Amino acid sequence: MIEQIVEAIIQVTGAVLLSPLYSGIIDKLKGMVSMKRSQSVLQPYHDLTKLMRKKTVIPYDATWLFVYGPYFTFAIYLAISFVIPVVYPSPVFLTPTVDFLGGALLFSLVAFVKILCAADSGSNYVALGVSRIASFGFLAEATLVTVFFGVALATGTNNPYVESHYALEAPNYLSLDHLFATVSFFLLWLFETGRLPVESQGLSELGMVDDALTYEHSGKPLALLKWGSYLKSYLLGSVWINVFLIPWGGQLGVAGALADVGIMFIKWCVLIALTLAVETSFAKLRLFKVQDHLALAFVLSVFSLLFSVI
Amino acid sequence: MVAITLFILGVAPPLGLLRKKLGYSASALGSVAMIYTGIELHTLGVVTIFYIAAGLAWLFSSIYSMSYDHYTWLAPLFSLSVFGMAIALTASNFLAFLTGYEVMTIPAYVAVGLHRKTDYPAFLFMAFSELSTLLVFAGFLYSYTLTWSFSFQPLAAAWPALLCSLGFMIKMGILPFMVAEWLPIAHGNAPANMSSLMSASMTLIAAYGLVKMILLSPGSTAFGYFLMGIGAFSVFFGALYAYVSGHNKALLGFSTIENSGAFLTLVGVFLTAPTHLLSMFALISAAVYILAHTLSKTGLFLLAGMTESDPSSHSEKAVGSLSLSGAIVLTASMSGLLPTVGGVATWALLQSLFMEAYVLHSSLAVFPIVAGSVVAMGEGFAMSTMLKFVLFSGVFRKGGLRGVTRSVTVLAVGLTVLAAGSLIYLAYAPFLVSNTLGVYGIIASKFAGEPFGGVSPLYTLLLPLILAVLVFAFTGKPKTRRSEVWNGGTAIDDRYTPFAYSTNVRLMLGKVLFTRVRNDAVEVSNASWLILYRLSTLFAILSKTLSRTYMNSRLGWYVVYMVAALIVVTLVVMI
Repeated sequence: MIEQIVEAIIQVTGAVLLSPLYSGIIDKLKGMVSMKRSQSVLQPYHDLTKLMRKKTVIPYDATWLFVYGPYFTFAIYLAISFVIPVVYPSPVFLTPTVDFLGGALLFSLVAFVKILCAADSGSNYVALGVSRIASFGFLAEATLVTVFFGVALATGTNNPYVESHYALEAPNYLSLDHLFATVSFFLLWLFETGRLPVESQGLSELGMVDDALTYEHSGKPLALLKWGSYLKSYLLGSVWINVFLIPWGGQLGVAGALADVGIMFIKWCVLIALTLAVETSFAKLRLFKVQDHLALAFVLSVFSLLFSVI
Repeated sequence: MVAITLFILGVAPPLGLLRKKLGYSASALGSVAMIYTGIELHTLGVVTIFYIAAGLAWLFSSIYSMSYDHYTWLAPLFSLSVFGMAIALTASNFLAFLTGYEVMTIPAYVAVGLHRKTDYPAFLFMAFSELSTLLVFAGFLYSYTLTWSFSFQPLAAAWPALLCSLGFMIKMGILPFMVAEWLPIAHGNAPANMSSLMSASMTLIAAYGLVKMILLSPGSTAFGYFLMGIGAFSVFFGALYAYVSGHNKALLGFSTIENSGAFLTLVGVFLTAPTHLLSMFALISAAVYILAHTLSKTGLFLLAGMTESDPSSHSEKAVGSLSLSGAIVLTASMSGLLPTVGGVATWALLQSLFMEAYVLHSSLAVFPIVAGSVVAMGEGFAMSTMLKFVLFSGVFRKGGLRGVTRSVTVLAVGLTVLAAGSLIYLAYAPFLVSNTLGVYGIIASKFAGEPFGGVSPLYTLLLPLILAVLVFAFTGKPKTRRSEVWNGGTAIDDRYTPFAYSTNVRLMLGKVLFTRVRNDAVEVSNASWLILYRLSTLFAILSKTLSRTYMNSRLGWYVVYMVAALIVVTLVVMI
């Protein structure tokens, strides 16, 4: 049991500490490809440190939800990092808390709480962004659920660790259901992390989606919300890498868990390269076209389900 | 204990005539007795869940009503309806069930009629309720011809259950045309405590009746797939129409249809599951879904009662922080989020569908896969819908409506939903697995020996809470100062409205919602309601034409009519 607790600590710590780094690397490389003088890869850490020291401005009407909600959202992301294979390739301490579907429901819980925290400010701009997020939620949640079940139907279990082992074999890896699920999850990851072609970052009224959720926050709660976003990007990206794209290479044991942190970095380089290619090749979709992107992801995930059982 | 429960609930209506609070107190006492009866009869399996869910819903509604009721006849009508439900729930024969079914319906009709000055919602409710009763009656009559007994007994044919199911589905708002708008209209036009009874408890009674008849009948796989199909369809469209609804209580009414759809989908899995274990998992999950819906919907209708003075989407009333805390948990449950009981139910629903697809592993698996995918989309809409409800009840739109009893009641329902989520693993006794990697109370979904998936609702509550405390301890309390909201640097003159919140979807899904943009106004239509309305109009025109052409006081035509009627009746009797 102690060994599993140590492995869990390494997994969670690795996810929490390294998640801002990957975002920093992507931003740095994007700047380089665009021939711009770009920020340091450590910029997200500088931002978080600065925000942690800053005072928090609370709107007059806001309640405890606005101030303390971000602590809870960050905690849910931490809980998720116990249960899905984001560093270590075998179940760790507290992993059986939820299965793959339960993990998807926890991601939805974070979205729910984040929206409540943001809307508690009473800002119309937040409400505008929230209404946009809610408009796409039905396809995003459905894709997350169906893509997780795509591999569950192939393996006969909803345990993500078994699923990652299943894909180790070439016939399984190259099967149509696995390929459809892989593409579908990547499209979903682009949406969930607000990357092009469905970019949701920015404070322009016309395109503001995800940033509406942090629009009125400042100081520590904003730092936790931002860190939570990095963590979410890391968790979903790592699931995609470990279960779908590159299931190989995981090492067992405590020493193996430490090595897995480095191995994950190498694996993440592939995802960063892919993201960079997409982000520098595609134009931003108009707001209502985002549903087409998600509809494609959803249809592919349903195909994955169908191919896995028929 | 059943007799004592019925006695207490039976004396509540006359007591309510004398003094309102006395009537509601008796109903509350009877509800506690009903919960005790459920616990005492725990050997009845899923029936226990129905008893406890009903008892809790009545208890909270009764307590709330004590400070809510400003109407003349509401107390006895409320108590009588509860009494009717108790009769139906504890009935051991068809006659008692039908009596209870009618006793619960008629007071609700009167309450809707007295509450609104227009007759339309009350008549609509009565028409569909009586159609429901007629079909249930036909099913019971058919059962009688099979067993020659009025008691609930195992049946040799599936037809009585099919007839009854259609009747119960009407009561749930599923039929006709899957998403019938009559239910939101009727439920949205009753006083809040009665709305909560109609939407939560009456739906529970219909679900209970449906399960009871299906358990007594030989299984029909075809009917199971039918239920799965219309259930999934109702989940999606119920949630979609709730999302675009501009009326707070109608939104909750549509949400009831969505939840009834989820329940039917699980009953569909129960009937079509290839293994006994999966069948059992689906049945328990169906009862858990009803528990989640009954509790959460009760609380949300009670909350809606606090803001209902202006039911339009521009209402400026909003609740205070006490009831809002309860509302957040209740809406999380209705959004299918862990660690609430609604989250467990949604998890179990999706697990059941995809486990069935895995076990079937053939072209038949298309049914649960498509149903599961549609349900997943519906659940996504459900969360957006519930967010809309809670945001404009007190999170985004601020208020401070007072009323300690009512606020505490809503909070208590919320806490009950949270507690039920953590304790519901007790209902899944055959599906529990022992301590694994430090986690206790894991519900494992199974179709055979090995688990397919698993969740520990208690740990999904405790783990984030403990981690949140650790994060707080590590990062410390933020230094704060108060200021005006930034809002893009502009003063807030107009608030973002619930209508605007849903307009993106009105435009994006224009073809599904029949969206029309006229003079800057966006309107949508409910397709099923339009079909029903047009059919009714056609029927009215046909009747008018017939009556003017043939039934126009000419003796000759009357003789022809009577002869034709005689021939038709004779033929029917002969067949």
